[in-house]
Amino acid sequence: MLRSVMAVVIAVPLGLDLYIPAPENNPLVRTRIEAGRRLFHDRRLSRDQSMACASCHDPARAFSTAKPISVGVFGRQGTRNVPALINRGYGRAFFWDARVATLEEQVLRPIQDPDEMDLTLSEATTRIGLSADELSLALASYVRSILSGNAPFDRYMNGERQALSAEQQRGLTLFRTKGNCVSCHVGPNFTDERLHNTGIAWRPSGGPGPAGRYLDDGRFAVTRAEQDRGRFKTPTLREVSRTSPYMHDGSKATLEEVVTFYDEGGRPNPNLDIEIRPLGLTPAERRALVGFLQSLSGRVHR
Amino acid sequence: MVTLRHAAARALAGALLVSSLSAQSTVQSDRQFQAALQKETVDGNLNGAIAEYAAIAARPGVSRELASQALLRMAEAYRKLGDPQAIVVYGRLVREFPDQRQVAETARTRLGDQEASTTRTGPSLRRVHSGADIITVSPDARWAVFNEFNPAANGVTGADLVLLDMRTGTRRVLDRHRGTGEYVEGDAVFSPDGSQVAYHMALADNENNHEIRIVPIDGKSPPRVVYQSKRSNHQYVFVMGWTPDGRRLLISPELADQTWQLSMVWIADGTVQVIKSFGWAQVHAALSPDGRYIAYATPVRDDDVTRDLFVLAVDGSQDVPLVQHPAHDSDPLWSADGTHVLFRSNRQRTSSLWAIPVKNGRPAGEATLVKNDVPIGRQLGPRQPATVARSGALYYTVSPRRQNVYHVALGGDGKAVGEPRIVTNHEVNNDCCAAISPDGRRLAYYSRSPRVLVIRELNTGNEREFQLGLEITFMLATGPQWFPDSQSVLVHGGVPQRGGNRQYRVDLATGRATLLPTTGVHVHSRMTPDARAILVGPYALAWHDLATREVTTLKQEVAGTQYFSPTVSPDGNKVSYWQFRAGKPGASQIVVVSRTGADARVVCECEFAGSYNPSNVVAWMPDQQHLVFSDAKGTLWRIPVAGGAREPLGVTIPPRIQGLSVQPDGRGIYFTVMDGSSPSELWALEDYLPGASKQ
Repeated sequence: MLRSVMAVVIAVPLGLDLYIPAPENNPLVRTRIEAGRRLFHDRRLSRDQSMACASCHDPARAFSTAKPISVGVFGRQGTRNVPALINRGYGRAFFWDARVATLEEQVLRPIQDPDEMDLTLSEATTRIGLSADELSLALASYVRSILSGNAPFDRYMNGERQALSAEQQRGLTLFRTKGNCVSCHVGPNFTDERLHNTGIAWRPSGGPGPAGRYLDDGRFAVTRAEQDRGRFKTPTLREVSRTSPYMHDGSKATLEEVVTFYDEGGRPNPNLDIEIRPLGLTPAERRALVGFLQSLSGRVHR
Repeated sequence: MVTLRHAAARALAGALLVSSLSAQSTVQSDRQFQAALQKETVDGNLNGAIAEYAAIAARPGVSRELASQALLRMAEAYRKLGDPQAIVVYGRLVREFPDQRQVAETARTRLGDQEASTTRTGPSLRRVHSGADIITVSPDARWAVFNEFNPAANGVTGADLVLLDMRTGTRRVLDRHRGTGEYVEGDAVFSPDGSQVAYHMALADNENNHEIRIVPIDGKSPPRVVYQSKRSNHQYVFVMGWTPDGRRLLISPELADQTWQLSMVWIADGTVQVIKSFGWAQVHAALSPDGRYIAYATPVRDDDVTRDLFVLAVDGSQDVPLVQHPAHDSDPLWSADGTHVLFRSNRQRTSSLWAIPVKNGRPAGEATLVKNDVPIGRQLGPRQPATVARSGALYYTVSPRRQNVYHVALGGDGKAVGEPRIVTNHEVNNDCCAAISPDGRRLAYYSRSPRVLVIRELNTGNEREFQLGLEITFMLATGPQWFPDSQSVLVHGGVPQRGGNRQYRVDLATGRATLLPTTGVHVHSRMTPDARAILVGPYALAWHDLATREVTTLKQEVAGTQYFSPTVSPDGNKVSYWQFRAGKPGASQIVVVSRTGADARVVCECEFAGSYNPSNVVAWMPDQQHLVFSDAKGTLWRIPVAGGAREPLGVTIPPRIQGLSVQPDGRGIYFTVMDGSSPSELWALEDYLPGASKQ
């Protein structure tokens, strides 16, 4: 019943699409995935050789980190939370502000970011003896191979009715109905890969003067379109119980806090998404939702 | 893209006209030529352009240079249409315009191409059946299946799966559901050997369960279930293909979050493998004859429902764009030999059939027109609109469905004055659901397929078409509704980035559609005249406040009872609705109640047939003293709100009148006549692919 199918070279776990998008020039092949895995753990790719990709994207934490905000070489502080690198092969937009459209481009950015690994591409390629293309293709292939599925939720969806507890089943129903979570967290990967303003970056003024401000402009920094202020990409909910803290700024430490934030209607601001509104959940309903979210953790294949 | 096309048209016009602007040419001819070019290259209106070119060539005193250019463009337009008249025009150019060397040479070359391409017999079209609304035919075209709705039994209908012998015309029920509330839906596929049918059932349980069943056509064993939406926690499913080894079915389930997938289900054990997940738009898909590829159509942008075509490998190894064009390209089918993907396109405004060669799951050439005006009548979308038999013949059903917007004047006594007349012709027999604006100056209605919003100025007859980028929902004549400013309308619809049936406010000045903060609003709903709330049926009746998002129940959900066609009085203080209690013959009533739910009064024990859910069939007269409504026989009635006998308006147009909209001055009423009573026809198109071999 728990059929997994080999899609060319990797086993696709239950619940995920057999088709994993990959560019024509970077088909999924074992050798490149393996090369990418080695590079992912290679500390030479950081200025002081103290950090590898895996330093922030910890495989033990579903390729995320426990810190609210990323910390790069020499202890430099980033500005956003480290996203979990799971099922990114199905992604269509990368980084919290969706500024990059391909994994091949995405994987090179942290290496070159002064607040992360702080190398020029030229320095990086010289250190590892690969071309920029080879580095990009290999890292992207490895990231593409990091899959999370076969969670209790997936087994439940495939007819194993005991896979979710009664409370989790109630949570699933709430997730789809009263909670309105499926306005954004849809499909097998629980993300629409789009950007929304939940108000998480908004700070009301609390008095006379400006009505408020965004601590992080989000997508606006890419498009300069006013309606994009405060919009961030919907993250996957796969493995969500292992990827705290939450939100683009790591400001929510627990799933309970996240659910409460949405239950209260996010944070009203000029660009608040039309789908965000007070939910009126009872404490039991909040617990059920959290319980359901915990059912989305399965096995991370890498 | 439009900009590029405009630029291309201008460049083409400039190049062609440089030499033709002789002293003899008139400014008028030049303008007409440019207009014709615009029609041909920008608007895609080839027939219109042909008429213009013909007029230019026939204009007295036109230069030979311009006449030849016009004829050449005319021939090119015919060629694009696949019309053999192209040969005639090219021949005329060669014979009559040898002095226009470049034109004559082009015509000579084209003539050679055309003659070479028309040595074949050419497409042939024949009607093979009339009566049933055929879903699909068997690979050998001997058999066909259709779903047949049963008469209501205690108000509960059902739909059977029926097998039709195309040779003898005899029929046999393969799966019977008389009065069970269970329906065979409109999607089914034959097994590769033609011995079985896989089909889609909607069950009557409370969980809205859908099944895929398989039944042998010899009737020697009962249907068996191979897929249940309930088991997979899905809420809907389409069956789309059967692998040549007979072991798997291609299905498209709708998840509970209203997104869609393409999956394979193993017939032996019901295991489902998801191949690819999509967003909120249904997927049109077809399995290749060798079972290796799926051609599918899906919207490519978040803000546009226009579709492109792709080919996805069943093993998940590739997903390749097949047709990328600004037009709406949809409903892919594979040719019998797997060398082409056929698809429908609106790139010539009407529904036309195109083909693109495919090799190894990739495009192997340009898309070409197979046949213009292919009026495939089955419901569009994931349901297979047609079937390609093993012989290569394309079988498609034409449902002579007619929808037209009528108007009838009303006298002081409320009776009709004169005969009703059709008042729109945006697309003949395809206009519906008109609503007159509060200021009485404009009419909003839907037209064409896919649906577009049309605004008609009633004093001039001028019309404006709005391509909203929405998949407009118009089921049961749920048309646009006006906001009180008469400058914007509410439409029900969906877009790729938002799930389900949603409501949008369309600003007619900008054409922009803005999502309204509504959830759970069914098409059985009506906005209040002040646009502050929407009254929503049919299982309960509730106010959805558009500002506060609060939902206030007016009528609680009661098992077996539904509230159709809710309507709010002009002053917003009263509500009417059509109450239907399933399983109780005659228990169908029009009820008037105050806005708060008090003072409920049955104003009419008016039966409607249990075979449809009436929507927008009750309307308030401006005096608020009367309601008008239509019954299931296509008769309009007036009835006093305070109680009393109903009176006929003197209008009966069977089979059904829906979409009532009363003029603000009460002197007339607009309505839609929905006529699907003519029998469906099954047509076969043969020899339509010159390069495709028959199997």
